[in-house]
Amino acid sequence: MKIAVTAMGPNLDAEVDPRFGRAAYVVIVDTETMEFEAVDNSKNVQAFKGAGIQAATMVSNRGAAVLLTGYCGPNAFKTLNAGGVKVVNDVSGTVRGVVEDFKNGEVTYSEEANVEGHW
Amino acid sequence: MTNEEFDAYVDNLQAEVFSEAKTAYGEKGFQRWRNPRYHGRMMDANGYGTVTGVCGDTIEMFLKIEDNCVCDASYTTTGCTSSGLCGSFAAELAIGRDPEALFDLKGEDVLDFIGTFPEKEQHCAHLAIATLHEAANSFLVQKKTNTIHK
Repeated sequence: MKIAVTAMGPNLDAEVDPRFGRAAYVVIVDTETMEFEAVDNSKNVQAFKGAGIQAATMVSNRGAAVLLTGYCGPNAFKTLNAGGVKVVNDVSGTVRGVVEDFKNGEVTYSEEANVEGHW
Repeated sequence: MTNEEFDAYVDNLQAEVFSEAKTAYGEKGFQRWRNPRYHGRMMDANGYGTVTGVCGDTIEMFLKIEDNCVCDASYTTTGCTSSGLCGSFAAELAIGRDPEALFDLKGEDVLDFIGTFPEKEQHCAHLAIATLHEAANSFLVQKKTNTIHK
């Protein structure tokens, strides 16, 4: 299964970036093999509102089934939901650590966005 | 949901955001949002300021000053739309002015220049102007230092 994790850096040892739309990187990890691909999200970092929608579309198009992040706004959440991507909010630590938590079933799927949309 | 349905859903959501943006920032702010001007780091700036607001957003302001006149200005921000728009319009307001006259500019001038702006985001205009003042100050301090050493 592929899962997406927002990250400060482009590898498994990077810290989770709590922001979703404006995360520095989104690391897509195969939970079976731990192979990963780091997607540079820097264009979105300077994007105006809509960054969440763009990042959510990218995560969905890359075939990730789950997103692990810190905060997820309403438009991103709606887009992820429409794309069939489950969301786990409020995660922190390293990418590798949160993926291990996920594999051990130590995460809770979010039912809704956990921050308000903002300009 | 098929790929086509998903794309249509995203397009519709984006259209809603555009509509909300026009309401929040008016036509002038919306157009600038779509085509941000004065954005980016300036390598040959001789005035530079960076300020982090209480909201956590940071704005950087770059000024190029020649013959006592701001001939170019640009900004970057870690923040969202409101910080970006205020940085862009503050840079535009700075161009053509005497660097000392930049201290006459206030956050309200940026808000007046944009016309329509969300009330709870207005601190961004003050942050942009504080950064502009910092940039002007860095230029003037450097100029004074150079004068003393001559």
